Amino acid sequence: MKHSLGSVLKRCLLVASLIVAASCSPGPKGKAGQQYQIIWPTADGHYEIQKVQIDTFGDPSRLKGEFASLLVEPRIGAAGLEGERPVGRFIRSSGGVLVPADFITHQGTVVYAHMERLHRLDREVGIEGGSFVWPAKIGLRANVADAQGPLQNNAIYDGLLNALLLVPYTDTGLPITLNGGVLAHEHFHSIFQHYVLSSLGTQWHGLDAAIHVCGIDETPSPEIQITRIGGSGSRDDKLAREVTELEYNRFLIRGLNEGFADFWGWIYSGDPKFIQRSLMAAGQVRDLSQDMDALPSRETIRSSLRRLTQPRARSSLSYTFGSHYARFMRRLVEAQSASHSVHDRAAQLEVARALKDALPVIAHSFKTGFGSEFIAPEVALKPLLSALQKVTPDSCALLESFVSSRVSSSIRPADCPLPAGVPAEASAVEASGAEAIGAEAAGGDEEPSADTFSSAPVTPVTLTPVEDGEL
Amino acid sequence: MIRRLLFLFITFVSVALLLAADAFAQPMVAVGGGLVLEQEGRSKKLETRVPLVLRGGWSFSEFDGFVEYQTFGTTDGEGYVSVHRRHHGWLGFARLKLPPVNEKLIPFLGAGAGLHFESVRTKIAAQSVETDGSLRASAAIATGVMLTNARGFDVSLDLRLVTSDGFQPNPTFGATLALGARF
Repeated sequence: MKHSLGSVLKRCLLVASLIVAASCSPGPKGKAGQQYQIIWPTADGHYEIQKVQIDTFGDPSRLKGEFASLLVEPRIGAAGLEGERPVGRFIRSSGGVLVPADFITHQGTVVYAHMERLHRLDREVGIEGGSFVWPAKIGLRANVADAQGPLQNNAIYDGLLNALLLVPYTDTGLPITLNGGVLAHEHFHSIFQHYVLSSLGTQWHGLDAAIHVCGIDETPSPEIQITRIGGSGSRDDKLAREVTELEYNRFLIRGLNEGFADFWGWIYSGDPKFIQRSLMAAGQVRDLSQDMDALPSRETIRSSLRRLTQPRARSSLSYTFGSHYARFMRRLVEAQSASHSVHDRAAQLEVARALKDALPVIAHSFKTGFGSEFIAPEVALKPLLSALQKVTPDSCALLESFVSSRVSSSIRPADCPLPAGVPAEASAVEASGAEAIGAEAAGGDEEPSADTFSSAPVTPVTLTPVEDGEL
Repeated sequence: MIRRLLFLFITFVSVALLLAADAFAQPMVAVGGGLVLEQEGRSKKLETRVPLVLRGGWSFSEFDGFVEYQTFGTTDGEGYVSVHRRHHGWLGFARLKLPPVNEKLIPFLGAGAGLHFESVRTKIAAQSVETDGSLRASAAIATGVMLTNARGFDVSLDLRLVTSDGFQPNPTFGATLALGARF
């Protein structure tokens, strides 16, 4: 059988037509109600493979939808965060469920599904609009480095870029990209950025820029951990230096940011150990199910900061400080709950709403005193409790325990009467930060040992840096 | 599982037809490896897959007709999570032999059409779920050369473009190198 050139060309043309026709077939579409088979938390906080509905994942083949735009291996360019548009690879099961066929696609789908639900949570707590965050800019496999090299096992919210960067995970637990609690924690940072940090202007931006360059959230080196809190008159005291108002307040605001974010992570995930699922050591320190410690005093914090001169160590310590607030707020949910349960969704949302409403007030406190006074660690308490619809007696008692002997009218919301035996005048004096700091600066530095802050009736107050990866 | 049985059945039928071929055609089989350039995660970077290639069919004087099966797998993950994907593709291929360069080296043009599907196994700790994707149509064009000898063995190398709505990029570029025998 002989073939002419014309015959061959005709056959090629036919095949080419078939190829073009096949190429025009559409990829997967993310219609509302589409189900995806992904790794997802169960009601008790464990993670397993489940079918999860995502309503707004408009272009799954580009991992893009209404609430998040994902980039892979992003970099910083002229237009902010830039990177490759990811390719979403799915198979469709016989039941019509889309199954991510590679890990990048799996991560992107899980992150998007959490973002869709975090947007829902925002609306439930009254964060309307939210154009400051939605669609969230998220970088997968982000290459973020500090002086020690590329960061791993972390998630970073960058306030300047207004973007969430997820760096590679090399540990043996749940990848951070799949950890809903961690994603909620990072999402809260964008809320805090909007309501608090943005209003502080350059006072905060100076630090923010440093974080941006260094890549935030480092692990303290061993020598820092050893020298973290020494006793009075120790060798560390000789190395210690005075802490400025700016340094102290930056530490405080960062600690609040981290503590509130841990609370947000718990509210979203319902899992008090959500960090532990990905980062064992840090997760134990920040386990929200542990007993609540009394809030460290201003003096305790200053003492700790004097001995921790390196920014990395101070950064780690801020997480520990934040955990005090996170555990208090979890207990506050229980105290506000009619059923006295931390699982009471209505009480969880009530406290979350109060936190949202308290943020502008907290921002105002920092704005007025950021560079000129040592702001009290209790700065968030009154705005938070005052924003609750009604403060229960249990919440008032919880507040007493949390602030230890530092009871004052500046901390106490109107619904909480002063306990018997505490004169209002004495409380008011104690609340004056300027007087307390002034006495200390004049040589009255009679603070108790940071290791055992004896005035705390709940648990002795210590501030110990987190010893492993942070978020 | 049903689809795998279907593919095994088609393989069985193909072999049976090989054995029953008439005098006008020589049964042929080939085994080899390939190269498939796929996108994964990032649109501008291509990842290399190395599929196993199996062929069975008939060789006529002017063209070859055969069925080709290709399979490859990929695994990726972090922590105690992994995603394993396996591709199964089946193409009916016609290969038109062009005038030989010499008595051993024969260039050819080829075109084919067929089906493929992918299965995904997702693992988290001890839990593992495997899902088969739906069957999809695919088509291919190819060009290459075949080195033959008088004892009925040949080595063929082809470059190809394969298209399907499930491929990324679409079409996907690939190559195969196969050692064949004619009976």
